[in-house]
Amino acid sequence: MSVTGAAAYKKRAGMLSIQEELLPPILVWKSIDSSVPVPVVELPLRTLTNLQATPVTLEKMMLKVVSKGPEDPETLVTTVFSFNHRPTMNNIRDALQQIISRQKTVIQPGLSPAPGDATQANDAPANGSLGTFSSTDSLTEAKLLRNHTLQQKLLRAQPALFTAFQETVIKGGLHPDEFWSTRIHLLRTFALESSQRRGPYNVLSTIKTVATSDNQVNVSISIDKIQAIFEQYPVVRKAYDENVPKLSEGEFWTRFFCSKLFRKLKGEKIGVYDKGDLILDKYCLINLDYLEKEDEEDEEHIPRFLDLEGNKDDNSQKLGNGPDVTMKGDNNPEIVLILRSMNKLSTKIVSNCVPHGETFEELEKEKEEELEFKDLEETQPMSYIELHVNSQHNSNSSKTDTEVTIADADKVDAGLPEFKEKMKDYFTTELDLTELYSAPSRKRSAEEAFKDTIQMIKANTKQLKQTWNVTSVESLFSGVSVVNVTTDIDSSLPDADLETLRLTQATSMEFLKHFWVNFTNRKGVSAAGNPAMVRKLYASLKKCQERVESSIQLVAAQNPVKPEPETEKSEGEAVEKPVDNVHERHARDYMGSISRSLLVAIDSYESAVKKVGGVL
Amino acid sequence: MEELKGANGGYAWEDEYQRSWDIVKEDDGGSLEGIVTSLVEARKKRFMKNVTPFQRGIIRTMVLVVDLSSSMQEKDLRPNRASITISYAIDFVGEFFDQNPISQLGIVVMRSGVATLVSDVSGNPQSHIDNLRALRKLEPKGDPSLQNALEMSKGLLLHVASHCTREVLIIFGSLLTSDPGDIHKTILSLVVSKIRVRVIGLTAQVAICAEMVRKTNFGDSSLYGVILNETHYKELLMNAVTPLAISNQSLAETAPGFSLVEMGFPSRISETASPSFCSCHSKLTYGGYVCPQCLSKICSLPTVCPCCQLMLILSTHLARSYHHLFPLKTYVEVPVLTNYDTEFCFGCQIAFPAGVTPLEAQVLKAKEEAQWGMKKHMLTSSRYRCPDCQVSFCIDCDVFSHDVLHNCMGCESIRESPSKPTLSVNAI
Ligand SMILES: [Zn+2]
Ligand SMILES: [Zn+2]
Ligand SMILES: [Zn+2]
Ligand SMILES: [Zn+2]
Repeated sequence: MSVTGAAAYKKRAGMLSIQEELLPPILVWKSIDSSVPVPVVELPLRTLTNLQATPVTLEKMMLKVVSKGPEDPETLVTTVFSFNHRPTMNNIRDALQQIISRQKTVIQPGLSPAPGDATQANDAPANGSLGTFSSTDSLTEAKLLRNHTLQQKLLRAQPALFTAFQETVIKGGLHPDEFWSTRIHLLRTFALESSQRRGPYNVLSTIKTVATSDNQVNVSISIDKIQAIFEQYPVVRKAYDENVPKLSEGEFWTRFFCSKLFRKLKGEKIGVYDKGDLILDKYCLINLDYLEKEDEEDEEHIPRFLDLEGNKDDNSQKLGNGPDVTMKGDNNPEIVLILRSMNKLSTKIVSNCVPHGETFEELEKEKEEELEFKDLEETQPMSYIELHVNSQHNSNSSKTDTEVTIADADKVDAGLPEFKEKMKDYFTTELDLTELYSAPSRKRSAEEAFKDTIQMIKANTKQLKQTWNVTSVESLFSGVSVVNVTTDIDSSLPDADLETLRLTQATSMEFLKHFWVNFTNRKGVSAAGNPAMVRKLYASLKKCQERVESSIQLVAAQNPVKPEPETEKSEGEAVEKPVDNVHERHARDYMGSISRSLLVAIDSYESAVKKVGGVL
Repeated sequence: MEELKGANGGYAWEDEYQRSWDIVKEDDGGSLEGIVTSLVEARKKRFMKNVTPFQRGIIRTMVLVVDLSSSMQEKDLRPNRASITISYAIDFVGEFFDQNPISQLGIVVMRSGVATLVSDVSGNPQSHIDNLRALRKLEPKGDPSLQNALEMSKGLLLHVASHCTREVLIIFGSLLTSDPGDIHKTILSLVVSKIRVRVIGLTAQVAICAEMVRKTNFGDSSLYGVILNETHYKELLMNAVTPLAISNQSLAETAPGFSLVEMGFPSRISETASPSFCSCHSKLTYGGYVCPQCLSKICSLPTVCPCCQLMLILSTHLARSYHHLFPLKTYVEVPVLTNYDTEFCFGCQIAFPAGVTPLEAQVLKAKEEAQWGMKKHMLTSSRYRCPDCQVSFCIDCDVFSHDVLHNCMGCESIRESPSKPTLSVNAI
């Protein structure tokens, strides 16, 4: 079904036709009048680069075809055909346009997952690069600690974590295993995210062709999807094998997505007048079943016995409902075909999921379980462990406790009438509230109390506000992506200096963390309880103390306080009495909490060593 | 089979499904006011909840798995399944942390055949809510994969300490799962890891979900629910706020072990003069809480000390988690009588309706039946009595006591309350 139409070339009448079934496919113009020796025009379709037609508004109907020259691909040859029937020209123009756009289609390589975009599920997650997880223990602590590739990838993906690693492991001398041991869950999550595989699914249904404004069909298809298509539809692989050296990769897929074959496999209805694809549509006729069987080694199981009893119960005609749609005689064969192909795909996907290598016993057991009527089973009544709450305090202390409360209660009861009496007067006599301010001594104390209260409220509000702000920020070194970085409280220090202090603080915190984990033996096993490790970390903490001090000094040195004019008068005085460096004081305040933490950690280690009589 | 009997003597499934608009039928004569108030009261009435104190794990770690496959675009819930699910999930997160302040939560999404971590396991409700909000922009797509989601949840729950529970709550809108491997093996590995799975289906029962729930909960299949409507959806979701009771069956299979959990109660400091770096975020802050063990400064509680890994909480957090262990007994509705011994609600001093003689009651019931064609009678005493202190409350105070206060106002005002639980419990 090649596209043909009457067209004139160099004012001579003739027939223009697109012959795609030829090799190579060509655009041919032949003169009608065979007596006149006019040479046949032949343009290989692959050389076409551009197309131009006169707009509808003009009476002239001409089609300009630009193609690469037969000898030199650099030179472009223009051939002009004129028509006298617009639909004919449009028909040919559309066909040629499609051909040109096919040649421009490029296959997108498998899209690499966008890093850092956690909420965006990838269509094609990297497969197997980190070793796909088998449902069991490949994610144990030991294995994750040994997986250096994984660790490197995680560091590359999370710059904050990388900074932490650099400061503590590379510069600070912390053992990498120690570093990772507190971050096992990060490794595990990362491994899980990056090694996930997708289950089989109906690939073709996920492919959507998008027609762009210039009448081109745009399809983006990834390598994974192509592989999945080959796996699910051997006929496509067969077509690909037979055609691809001849067609370019892009052309093949563009053709495929325009073809009737695609629509048939996808399970869409094909109208008689639908445009298809010459080359690929012939694969529709191939017996798909046959092809698939060729593919599978084991033959289809044909039951030798028919379960008549089962048949009797299964007879849908008897049930009053109409027979299954695939069994109806008057059904549109097209629909039945589509249903069959969908069913076949489902069967295939399901059969892929059947676990291999199961023992005979397991399979038997599974079959037995299938036969059980689960729905009709009596539900097992659930019983839960009851808590036995003592209505009184602990048996030992309960008596005395109760006695005390009773005694107290008696005391209260005794005082009650007296209290009531007092209260009676309280409400009858008039209260003089101005009394508070009339006595000067009371006035002052009241004002002071008021001031204190106001100050306290201010401090608390400030603290509360910052808590709200800061809770939405993830920790600097936790490796979790920072969601919403709120700014620090205004600091008098330059940003760079503040960052220096922050890094020192965070690094010290990292060492402290490892120290406490090992010191309190919270991890239970692994390197914990290892005295040598604790001793090493103790030394690191000492070094941290030095680092904190030196970074404070550094900040102080970089922000010298200009001597005030009064002190400038006598030089000697200024030297003797050092200027109070505001910046140093601030830096020291900022690092206050970490210094205290370091101190208490060092103290507790030293006292523990002393207790067992060790030497530091 | 006894428990299957419904209210009207028939089996439960024979019970008529009553919608609110079925009950109220407009007629020419009567005013709707009386019926409406009694309907409102009927709605507030609590279901008979089991209030026996059970052993529960109150330090919980849960992974919430949300289906965002193409089936979530269905519009059977308005505006569509995905957006109602996200709204409900946000409510759930708030409620979860309100009632379980010392617990942790993570959020995973099933989309395009893979599972994606949306919100890492943490005790910070705000970050979860922000991450859920961000999901609104994501279009539901592809197939869900229960296996991938379960494997990821397992990975997230593996490092959780043994005294915490490991739970997965799946909101599942699809009828299929597209898995890369054998999901049965994954389920078995969940059982081994002591992870309990709870599923809320939005479409219909799915066999694999039923199996998953049954196997991971020691045969208890009640944790798999399929929604009937939006209200029921919310109800099922909110059921998951209450910590799971530990069943005798589970005790038989796992060795009983009670471990003491070390916890620190930090003191609050305020630095009014100059801020200092906090140890959790490395940010300059004024004041905060100080860990009793390592003296590092922390921004908010509850948390695990970022320095020495000690669990840091406030005593109020513990108290708030405790009410699950000692649920407040359900108040008993006082039957309709001629005379009552109480006139006012103990909680809010609102006046109760006066008594009705049996004859009057008969007349009212007949009227109701004639006018509204109702089978259930709406006549109530409007008094709800605490079985312990015998004090009567109105329905609003009843709801407030059970849902917000978790304590009985009557019992608390008695000096020697008979049932007041103390913190010295045999088993926690
Ligand atoms: Zn902080
Ligand atoms: Zn600490
Ligand atoms: Zn009340
Ligand atoms: Zn009470």
